[in-house]
Amino acid sequence: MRYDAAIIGAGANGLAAAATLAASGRKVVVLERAQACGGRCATRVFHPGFSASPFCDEVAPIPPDIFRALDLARHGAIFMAASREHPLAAEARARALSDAAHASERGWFQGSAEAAPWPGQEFSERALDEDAATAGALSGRAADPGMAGSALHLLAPGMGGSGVVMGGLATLAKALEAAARKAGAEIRLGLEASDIRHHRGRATGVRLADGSEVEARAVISTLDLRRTFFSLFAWKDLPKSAIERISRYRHAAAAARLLIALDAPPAMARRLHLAGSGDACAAWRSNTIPDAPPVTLDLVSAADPSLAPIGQSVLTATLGCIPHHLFDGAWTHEKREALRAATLARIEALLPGTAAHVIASTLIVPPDIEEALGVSEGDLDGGEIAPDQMFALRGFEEHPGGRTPVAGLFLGGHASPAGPFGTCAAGVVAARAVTADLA
Amino acid sequence: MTSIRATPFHGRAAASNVLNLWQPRAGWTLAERYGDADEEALAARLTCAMADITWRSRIVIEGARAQEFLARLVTRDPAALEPGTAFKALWLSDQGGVRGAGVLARHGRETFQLVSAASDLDWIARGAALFDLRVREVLEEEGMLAVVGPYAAKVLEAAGLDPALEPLTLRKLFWRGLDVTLSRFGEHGGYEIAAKADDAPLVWDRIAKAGRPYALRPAGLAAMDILDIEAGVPRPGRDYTPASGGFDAAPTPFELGLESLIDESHTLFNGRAACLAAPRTRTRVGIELDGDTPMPHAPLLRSGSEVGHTLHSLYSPALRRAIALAVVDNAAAAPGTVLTCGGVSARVVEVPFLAHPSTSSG
Amino acid sequence: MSTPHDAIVIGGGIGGLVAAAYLRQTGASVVLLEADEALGGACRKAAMLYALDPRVVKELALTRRGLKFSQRDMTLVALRQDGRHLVLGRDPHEAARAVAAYSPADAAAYKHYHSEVFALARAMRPWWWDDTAAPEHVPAKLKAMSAHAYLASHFETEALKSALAFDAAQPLAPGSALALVWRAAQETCGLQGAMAMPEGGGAALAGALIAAAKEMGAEFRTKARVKALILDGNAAAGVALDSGETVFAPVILSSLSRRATFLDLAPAASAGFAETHRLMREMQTEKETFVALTLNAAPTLGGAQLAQAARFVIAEGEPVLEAAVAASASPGQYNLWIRAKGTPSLDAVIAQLERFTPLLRSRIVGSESVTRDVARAQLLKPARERIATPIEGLFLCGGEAEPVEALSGRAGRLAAALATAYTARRKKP
Repeated sequence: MRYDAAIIGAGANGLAAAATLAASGRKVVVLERAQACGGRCATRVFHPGFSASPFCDEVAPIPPDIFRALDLARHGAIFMAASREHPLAAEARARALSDAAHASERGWFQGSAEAAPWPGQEFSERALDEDAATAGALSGRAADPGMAGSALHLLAPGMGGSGVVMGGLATLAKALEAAARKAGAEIRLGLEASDIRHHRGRATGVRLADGSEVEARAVISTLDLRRTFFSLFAWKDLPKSAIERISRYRHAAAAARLLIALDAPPAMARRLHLAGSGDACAAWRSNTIPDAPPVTLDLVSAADPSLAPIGQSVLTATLGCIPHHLFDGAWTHEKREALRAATLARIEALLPGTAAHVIASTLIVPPDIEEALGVSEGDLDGGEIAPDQMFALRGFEEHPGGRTPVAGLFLGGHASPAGPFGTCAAGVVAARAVTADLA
Repeated sequence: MTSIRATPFHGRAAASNVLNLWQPRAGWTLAERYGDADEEALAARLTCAMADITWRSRIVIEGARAQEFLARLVTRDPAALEPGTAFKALWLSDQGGVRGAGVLARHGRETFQLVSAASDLDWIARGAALFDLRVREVLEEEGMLAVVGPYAAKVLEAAGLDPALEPLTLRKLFWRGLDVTLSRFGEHGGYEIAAKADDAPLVWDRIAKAGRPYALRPAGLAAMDILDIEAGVPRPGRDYTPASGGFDAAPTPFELGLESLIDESHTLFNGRAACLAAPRTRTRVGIELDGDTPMPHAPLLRSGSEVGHTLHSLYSPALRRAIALAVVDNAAAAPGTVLTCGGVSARVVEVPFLAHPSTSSG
Repeated sequence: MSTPHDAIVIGGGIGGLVAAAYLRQTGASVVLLEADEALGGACRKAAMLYALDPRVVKELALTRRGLKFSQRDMTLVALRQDGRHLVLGRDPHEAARAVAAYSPADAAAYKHYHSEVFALARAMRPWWWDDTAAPEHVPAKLKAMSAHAYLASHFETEALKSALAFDAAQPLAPGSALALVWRAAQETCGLQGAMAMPEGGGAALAGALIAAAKEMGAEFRTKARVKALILDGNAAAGVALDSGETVFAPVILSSLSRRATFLDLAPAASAGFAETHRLMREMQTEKETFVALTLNAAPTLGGAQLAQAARFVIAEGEPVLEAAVAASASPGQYNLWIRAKGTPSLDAVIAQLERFTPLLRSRIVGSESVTRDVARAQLLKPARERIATPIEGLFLCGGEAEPVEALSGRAGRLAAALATAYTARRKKP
């Protein structure tokens, strides 16, 4: 059976791409390595009776037009207090969508023509002002708010802005899965992609780890650049310029998460930011765990009573400036415990008496994220948010709309031009590019 | 300085109404919103919310001929009501126009209370006079609080109230020293607590306290209006102008989508013959707009010709789009029909837009 | 408990008798309940007929049953104090010639007026005579105009205007112009807009109707006043009498007024809340008085040669009245039938007449006077609305259900037809 499109990864982007393509009548199959859909949209029972979304409490805002088109509310994903996305993010996404309509006939990597500036491009030269509002934009990241280009984080909220959904992000995953299935997409779980099949510069399908093959006229990969090209292709099949480009692509994983179960709610506002020490970024750059990384505390059970037994609480701590590799070796048990204790101590200092109510806590560090989600270095952004890796430069500049040097292969994840501009955006953009090219 | 007419909850509402935004409704002064109306509406849908609904018209009809009168007044037979139960019904003008809609509850063998969104006291009082009955309006002496949301039952339980109550029933309770009436009349699956004016602040406090672990929030008029539209309930004054003349034939129950509130086998209700004979050419539907901007009272077009018009329209924070109730010709009323409204694409959907916030556990 | 009938008719006046007869023609079993000792109602007091439905005369064979006319086409004579009486026959040209003596302009206007009114009457007749759709071509201004204004727009002679205005019960009321048209839409003895006098007076009409209903097999009960309607849900089921007795039938035709039927007999609010309040608020302001004088000599109204073929109208002074003369059954005696507007005393009526026929008082050997309410005209209401009611199976068939209250029988005939159709619908599975 030959599909119109095979989609690697059943995270939010993959499911949104599948729903969009299937709704327009295409035959679509989604291939997911894990046993469940959703990727980072998950809820984990980290202690009996206590749940939290392990990787982030919220995702980037889901663009309203995509939310409506997928009818997510009716599939159960109703969000509390979604922030309105930054208007330039919406414009940039619209630019990515319009680029998706233009197919590039040039096959392999070639020099690009001058393109019109992207909305928000000027943010590449601006720095964030140091105030509480920026703390949210930098949550879970390692970025110097004084550095030029740090303003780009306003367009790429990453871990927040969608609002809380009852039951944690798994509810969003279920809604996206329902939307994809209702549209007619096929979803196959527990299958890891091992190769992208191609013939004469054109993608023809996906080979799976169990040896089986899926034939498709187009392939959308929601994996990041490195995983898509270096894991799923043989090097000899990639042009040198592409290899160079991909090798230069940087990840900036900096997020760690501490999920804390308490037997009573701490006396705090819903969200609190603890600034990191001045040298936290420098420590991260030198692959050291900072003494005082920036921390965002979120009393998630105050907004969603289903996460903890009544009268008890779940508190999440999102740490930034936590490196993926440590200069002195792997993440040992001692290092994890030290980070956990240090974080709890800082919380106790901020909210005295909290420590006595902690029942349990679970620490998730970048290597855990990498293993769980298949994102290089545990980088949930799919690539550093930096001026040389944003807008058209986040993908293959001369192949707009998430296209790649390989005809029929599309990037539909965070490592694509539309990726940072909202949850599901990259998937929908890739789906539109597929539709335009298959027509 | 415009005068306000305070409900028994006013003091507590004012303490929470940090923005000091008030709105008149039915002559009362109510909080428009305590913070963000969208958030309050979402809280009512996802966790729990409490709303001061003292503004609702509450009319007590009492006497030996009360049932006889009410059999003539409303579109369902009150003989079927046991004390402690209620039904939703309409009352019509002589020519079948909808004058009002509400919940008729039987408190005792000869005592009834009619609760509705708009007062029609004059019509009801003059009709009652034909049966040697007097009616009275419940005003400042009693406050009414709605508790809505998936956790509403749990909140009541935590506050010491037994939430086991069937929809459309009521029970008088002695609640830790207070005489209250607990009921389940509303369209949102929640509860109502009616209490004496002096006791109202204490009721508010108890519910607020019990609700804290459940993320309970007070919800203002704006939030409840959003819930009403999402539930597909047309409200008099906002969505339609009820018949005000004794012989008005408009609006018909059918074009408002309220025909389920009529029991055709009940032969006695005022305006029955005209109502059943009225042409049923239009019906009420839900409209989903492809955008954020509400389009109230706007024409709906199909292939350039007008097939209906929207009633009230609001942004739905749950659906993240503007929605509207609308009246359209029967031919254009099938769910999925695509229309345009003010240049924006509009789709006919069934109501309710969303299932009402369930009160089954969590 | 008696066996149920197919229909109950309340009231034995012309409306009830006609309804009962027509219902019997369809085979329905009918019982007519009259509160008085005798049947006949207002017929007995009337002398002149102008609205009797010719179909009723024909279909109930009233001629065969005793209804004969002594005068078929009574000329209108407007009596004037100065002796220049205005004689208006039905023929418009003759009438115009009579008018010319007063005003040449009015003579021309009269022909125009006559043709306008009669043409309109023909166009609107189906609307008033049957259960049809609304007429299309009623000029809007005519619907709102009073008879007084309408006549003033055509004529200048006061005597002419006031004579013609007599035919409207309230000539100053808005909408009363149509009453003149309605009058012209009637047909008596085959003549449009004519007035006739039955031999034996109104009692003869009553007698013929009673005979018709009796011969067709209607059951009559006199001294049987209805106290209340009995309903099953919102459908007619029977009546309860003052005596406590109950009579059952699924169809009830009431010749009482809408007000009496709903406020006195029907359960509270069964007409509808708004309608009930409207009926309660309605004030009966119009009355008329019938006077019957028995004289021992012929009166000399307007000259002896006109005395017996004319309908006299006195519109100068008070009370305004119409009168007609007929020889009595008793030899040497004459009946003078008077219909006066309002509630004048007998003395006032006699005094008014004496201005035109001196020595009247000395000739009176007998007198009778009765005052009745005059129902408000409903000229723009469709027949169905006048006759059907919110209570299923209950219909109105009396004079008040006519567009203008008059001895017509039309409402009774139509009520019987609607009741028959209702019965047929109920029987369908």
